[in-house]
Amino acid sequence: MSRNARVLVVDDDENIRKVVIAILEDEGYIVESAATAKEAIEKSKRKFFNIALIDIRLPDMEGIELLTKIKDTTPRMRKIIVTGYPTLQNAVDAVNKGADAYIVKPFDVKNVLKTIYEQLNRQEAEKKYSQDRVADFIQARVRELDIENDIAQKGK
Amino acid sequence: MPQDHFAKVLLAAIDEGLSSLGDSPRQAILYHLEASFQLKKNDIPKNLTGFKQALERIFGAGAPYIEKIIAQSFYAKLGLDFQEVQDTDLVLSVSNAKRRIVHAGEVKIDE
Repeated sequence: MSRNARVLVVDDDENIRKVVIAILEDEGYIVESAATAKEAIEKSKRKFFNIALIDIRLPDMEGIELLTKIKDTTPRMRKIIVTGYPTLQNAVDAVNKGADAYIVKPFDVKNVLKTIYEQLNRQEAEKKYSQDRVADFIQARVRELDIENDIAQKGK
Repeated sequence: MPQDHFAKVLLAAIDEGLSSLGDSPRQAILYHLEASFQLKKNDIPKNLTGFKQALERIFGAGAPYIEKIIAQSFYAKLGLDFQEVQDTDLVLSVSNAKRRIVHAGEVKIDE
């Protein structure tokens, strides 16, 4: 599953976008990018992304703010904040606004790939949980229908 | 196109469509279709209306979304363009696909 995952890279620095895209595509991920928060929001509305890598400073919005604006999906998109200015407050704010992980620039490629891989595994586990809930719903619903049928039959 | 091949393609599309919910839900649906709706998987192409009604009873307003995924998969497997409409009716979509194939003169479906 991981190798078909779709990643959205959100960074206003074109060089960084190019480097990250190259690294991720080399690993087999399907990658798109956005230079602004607005572009990221638009893309997330039109396409499904497993993961978003979001720079903490964007020209039109703080990356942490974008966490709450980007479209929610099922399974839930994993959001990773990327920052060259790591502070404890940033990390706390990021987690409180819904970030799943935090990556510090300059990039340690191994760490980036490991973080993405871990997030995809968690997403897969969530997806499996959701599917089990759907299966439970089907079972419960059919049981309900069987009871309705029994009542209807007895009423005849 | 022999009828049984058409049915096989439809069954494959149904499998694919139900798999979009996940493997556990797909298995649950097929199990309960047989156990509670007396509809075996291989009989679905012969009783598509029954299958559609079962999906509606189980999923309510969610059923059309599943029908649409199945219809899209079915059309893709037949090499036909799927024309998206507001309310995709699976029975109608399959019937239209059959008509288009026969009308195109490429193949004849034996009834």
